[in-house]
Amino acid sequence: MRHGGRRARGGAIAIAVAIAGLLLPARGAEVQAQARTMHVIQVPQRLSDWLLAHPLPPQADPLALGWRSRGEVPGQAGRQQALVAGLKGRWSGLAGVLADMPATGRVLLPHMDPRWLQANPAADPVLKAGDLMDVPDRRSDVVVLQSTGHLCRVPHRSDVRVLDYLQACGDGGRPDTAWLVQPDGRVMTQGTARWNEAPGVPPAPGAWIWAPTPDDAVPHHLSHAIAAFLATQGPAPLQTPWSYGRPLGPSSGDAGSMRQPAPLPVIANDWGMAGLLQTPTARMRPAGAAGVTVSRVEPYTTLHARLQPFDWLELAFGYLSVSDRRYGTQALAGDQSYKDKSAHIKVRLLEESGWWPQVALGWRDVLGTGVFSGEYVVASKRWGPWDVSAGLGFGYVGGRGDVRNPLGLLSDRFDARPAAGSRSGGSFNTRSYFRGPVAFFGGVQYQTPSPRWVLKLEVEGNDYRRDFAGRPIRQKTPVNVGVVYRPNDWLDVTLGLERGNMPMLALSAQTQLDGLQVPKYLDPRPLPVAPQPPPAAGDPARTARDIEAQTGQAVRSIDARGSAWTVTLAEPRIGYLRPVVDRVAEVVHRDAPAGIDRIELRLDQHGTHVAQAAVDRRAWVREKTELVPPHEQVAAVVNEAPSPGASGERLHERVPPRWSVGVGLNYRQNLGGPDAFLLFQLAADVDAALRLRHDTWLAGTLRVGLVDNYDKFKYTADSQLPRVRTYVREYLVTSRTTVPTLQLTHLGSAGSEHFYLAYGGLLEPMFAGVGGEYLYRPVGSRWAFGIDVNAVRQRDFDQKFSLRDYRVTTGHATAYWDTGLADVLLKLSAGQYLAGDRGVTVDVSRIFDNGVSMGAYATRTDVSAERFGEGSFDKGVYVNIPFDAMLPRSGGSSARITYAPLIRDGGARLNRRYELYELTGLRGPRSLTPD
Amino acid sequence: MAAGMAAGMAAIVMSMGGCASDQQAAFASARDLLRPGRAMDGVPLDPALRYLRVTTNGKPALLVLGYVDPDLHGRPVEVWYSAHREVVRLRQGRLAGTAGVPVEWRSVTSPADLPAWAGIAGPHQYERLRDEMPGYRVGLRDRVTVRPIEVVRDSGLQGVAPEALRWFEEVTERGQPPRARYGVRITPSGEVPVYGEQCLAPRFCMTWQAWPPVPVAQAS
Repeated sequence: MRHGGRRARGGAIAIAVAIAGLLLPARGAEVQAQARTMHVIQVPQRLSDWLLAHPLPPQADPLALGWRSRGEVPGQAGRQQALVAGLKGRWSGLAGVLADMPATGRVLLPHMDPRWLQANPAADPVLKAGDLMDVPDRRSDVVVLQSTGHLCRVPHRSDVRVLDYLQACGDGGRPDTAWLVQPDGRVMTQGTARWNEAPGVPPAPGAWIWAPTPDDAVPHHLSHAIAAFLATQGPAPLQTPWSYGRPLGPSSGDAGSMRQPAPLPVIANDWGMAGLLQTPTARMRPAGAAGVTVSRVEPYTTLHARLQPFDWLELAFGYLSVSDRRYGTQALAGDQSYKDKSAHIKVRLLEESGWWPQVALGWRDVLGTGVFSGEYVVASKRWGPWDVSAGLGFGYVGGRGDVRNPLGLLSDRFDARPAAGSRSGGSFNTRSYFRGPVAFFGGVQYQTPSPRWVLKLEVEGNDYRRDFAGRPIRQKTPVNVGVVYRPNDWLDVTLGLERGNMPMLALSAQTQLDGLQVPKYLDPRPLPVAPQPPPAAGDPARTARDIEAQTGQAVRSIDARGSAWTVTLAEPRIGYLRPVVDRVAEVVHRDAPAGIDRIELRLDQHGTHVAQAAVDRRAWVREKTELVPPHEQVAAVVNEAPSPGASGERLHERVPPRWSVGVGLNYRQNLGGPDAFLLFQLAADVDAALRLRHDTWLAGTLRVGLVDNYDKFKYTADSQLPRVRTYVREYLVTSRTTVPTLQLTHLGSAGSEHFYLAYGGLLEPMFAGVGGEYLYRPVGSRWAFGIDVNAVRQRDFDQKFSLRDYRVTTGHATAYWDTGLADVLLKLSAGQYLAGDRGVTVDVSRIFDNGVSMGAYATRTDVSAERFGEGSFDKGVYVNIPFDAMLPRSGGSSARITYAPLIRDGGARLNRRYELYELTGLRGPRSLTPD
Repeated sequence: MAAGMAAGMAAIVMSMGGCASDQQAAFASARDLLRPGRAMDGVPLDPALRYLRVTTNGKPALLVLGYVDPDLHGRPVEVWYSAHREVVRLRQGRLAGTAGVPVEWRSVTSPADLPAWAGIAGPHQYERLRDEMPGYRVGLRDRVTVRPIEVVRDSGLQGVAPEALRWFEEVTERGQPPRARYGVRITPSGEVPVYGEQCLAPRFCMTWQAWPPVPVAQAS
């Protein structure tokens, strides 16, 4: 334990009260002197040391403390000039005021607690001689910068919103967006109009607000730049020009009592999409949202999962059960109720703004045969707690047929909607889209003053007389009402009355998958990083041992080559790479002598150099031991092509064990079959691998079923194609103990960008054979190209070692394109599938910063929809979640949930255990994110 | 799907990337979920250090005393550090600041004449000033009433009989932040705050306790 006495005030000259001024509160309040003190740093020192040596006076504002780095001034001055140039002309007054402000060199700091900074040196900057520490007094006002350049001061109140300050200074115009610059330099944007208002933090005393009205027509990028520049200023200066805003009235003194506007609740409707009850709205959740909705209104029960891969695209898919209609014959499905697969899509066409509503175009039951299919265009406009929607429905959504189809003015063929239903279903019924009579629908959602309660009222456009129910449905009125209870931010419970005579209950749960992140508190404690390297090299064996303990990865070797140490990890199982790089660098920096200025982390897969991260030791150490001002920041870690084989000194080597064994769980379920809605199995997997050479290994899995309900599994679907997948029942129920895979694999590379894989054995649960794959993938490239060819034979149902007669050669050429646009990864494959059909598979996914991806795939082959059978073509959606995003311990696994609406034989691909694109995943342009 | 086409079956496959051995992280996390703090309980304590057992929303961690700094009135403020470099400050056993945690109390001040625990025989009111982040709630003034209460048996106190402590509660005029409770060992030779609990926000509650627990006989 140390006792922190006050230190001598060395190293800084306190130029006390360098700047002072007077603040004259509105309406004749007493004169109050306020000041800010600038301290000139004389001797380089840590910010934490400076803070401990200079206890703040009681009147100082710790939030507004500012470090002004001399080195930052030129860059900030350049940005200031560009900003002023951009504003000249229409906003010359504003440009002039901004031009008169100094380029301060202020650097945004994460914290000003010296004891916290001492424990977090990466956030603790080293102040240089000539830098300034700005110690302002806590202000008693908030300053609104107006588009004229005028500064309007309003006495601070803890219980009012940004909008209240704007109104105190304004002339009646209401801005759409405000940029709030807090005294610590953080910039926040807040919606301030009735259509976009949302809860926000209050301005702290000394904050700036910049909020041009729509009439000011200041482009957003300039507003961002203005806010960023104000963030360098610290609390507003006390000199003129300024004016006083209208007073805000007496304060309650409680920031917790601030009148916060309610956020716009986006709640699922009965169909799992954002909407009211039966009807959709144009609303969308933020990209990354996912959820599940269950609803019940006699005779329908729905179960839908929904995904929001982009801000403008909402998808939902699932099942609808019709309780008064049988699934099929008694012999086929017993008493099970009818199930209808459904998928819905909604695309935002226009984003809401001050005058314009949000507009969306949607398809309900888009892949169905028409029983519940419908289309719509809908607009939504918000006014504070009220959100009004109105739309035009086609098909099921507009079944009431109030009016003639307006598209009929263009062509008579829009007046009639082709009869519902095709033999196979599952295809896009483009011939019926937006055809037939239409009906208006719409409604209103009201957010009550209590954030937990939302009211809904709507007029729907459906005509239940033609519904697909066992018994006729009587609709007393098209007006539906509902109340939503929101006990927390992930669950909505809706209770409603629909058709005027039928109660409705819905439960909807949601989360933001793109926001998943968990502190890794179960990981080993990181090693401290000393600012200086050790005087002599440590024991490399200890280095390797500690790297393994820190990362959970196996160290193959450590080599010294020139001024670099290279650590090679064998068969790494890595989720997020950057934390692993840091852990390795921490150990190597502890042990590598001063002459080593580069640390290479090479990632090998079975002897093949797949990827490499290079650490600039000096830059990395600085990044870890001090807060580096922006103008001195350099990339400390880069992804690069692996260096050639070690030609230096081998410091440590460990041959990986020939055997490895692991145990895990496997869960799979099949939904919607005639035997039972849910068929599932939980199994234990034992993985084993035997390394034969450094580049060749034998690996397999033994699976033992633990729990299942496969005793109910009786139905085998028919097929007009070779039955490569529709024997799924036979494969699942024949044997409880199976060998899903057992294959010999050889991995190699030719040069640093070409990889190949050769394999043979039991390749997947249904097929055995031999095959090979080639992949061209430059490091860091957004493009890759691969080919795989496989000669396979169908396995027996017991999934042991015997084979059936069916043989096929299957393989694909695949192009991979990480587009760099909206985080989209595109995979395009063409080739021959397991049933001998030939065609193309398109796989599109959105990969979020935390590694979570949402994707969909579809395959069209030369098999007709009729021969393919139900579903018409193979397709599915999936979500992939790295364990690193949701577990408190690092690991290389990910959870993948794939929903394939139908298991058919057409368009079926071999499920290869190893794919080069995955094995070389750490070469990709995203490998070092998230950091 | 058409009526009468009742043959199709969807597959929802939940799979783990990689092989079974990759699931160690999942198993470790599941173990932690079932028995939180198991790893912490096994940590050998260094007799040269002082420890504080802190729970945040029920999740325990051991903190180590780093400094004792004087406050504006010269009273000692203990500065405790977690393994994840968070900071908790205690003054007379009361929360005097947090840093690096989801809800931070900063610049917490209380009057110089705040009585010692042993001197609180009935309700006593004082004013506490603080800033709260990340909500930029600055200059908050809490009118706090501290009073002795009956022995508390539903606290997070570990390894010490609640009867061995004298208990106090602090409530604020507005009810925010919620009530805090303290267990203090008061002996003829002085007073030692042993336990405290405070919700900093509706969904962020902390307890803290001097660690390891000291048996009554040893303490007296």
